[in-house]
Amino acid sequence: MEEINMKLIKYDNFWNDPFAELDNAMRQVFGDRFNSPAFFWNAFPAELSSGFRVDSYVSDDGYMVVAELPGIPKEAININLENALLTISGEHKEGKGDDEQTVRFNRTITVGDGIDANKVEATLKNGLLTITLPKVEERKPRAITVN
Amino acid sequence: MSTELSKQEAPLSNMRRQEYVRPHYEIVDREHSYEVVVHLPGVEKGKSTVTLERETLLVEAERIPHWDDNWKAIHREIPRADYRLRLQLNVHIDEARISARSTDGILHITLPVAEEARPKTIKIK
Repeated sequence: MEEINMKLIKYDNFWNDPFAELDNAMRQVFGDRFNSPAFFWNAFPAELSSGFRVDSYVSDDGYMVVAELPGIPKEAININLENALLTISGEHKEGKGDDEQTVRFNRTITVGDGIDANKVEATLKNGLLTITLPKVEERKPRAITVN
Repeated sequence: MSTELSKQEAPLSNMRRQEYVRPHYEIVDREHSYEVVVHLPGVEKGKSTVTLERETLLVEAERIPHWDDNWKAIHREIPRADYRLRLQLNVHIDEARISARSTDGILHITLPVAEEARPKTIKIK
């Protein structure tokens, strides 16, 4: 949950920011789960999630998964592909001394079959992790000419 | 209504309210300053602005699209709107000394407390 520092912030409400009131109301009802992707996506039992948002895309050439991981260095991120399941996980210590807290994240996303595991690539930029998962050659759709 | 005025009106599509996403933020209490940590994944360095007008701190940031037409979305959670955060400050800040830096999709704003607003110890004579 967002920690609101009452000393610095006078108030955090609708007039100040139209979204704040709604966010606060949702948090009161749903607690921390409101901000987690699981809240929106628990309809998909195979895609249980904790803590960060993910997009996934498909094209003829393969799949692309984009994850929001702001402030996480690449050394702290583990990516694992097993069959059609892609897992992004890791932990990272933030802050110093008394402020130190460990951020743990873990999410498994179903991607399609037929991925060429040797060609999977990941890049981390501006807090966004982008993983591209090319399909193996023979799985790509091909136009067949009728003679 | 004069025709001249109605001509100048923007078409309805342009008048649509701009939508923003309110980013996650945290506030760290430091000695003589506050640090506001704003999570802005998908925002390139230098693509965010911080303004303090009177007691309102405004953070706006433009997202670089991570999507394009070659990819069909099968599952979407990441919002596509730009970020905006507006905070009403309760403490007098030394505007000239505000600083901000961004790394890995996180913006750190340092708000130094103005000299006159710092706690003072009063000596008893």
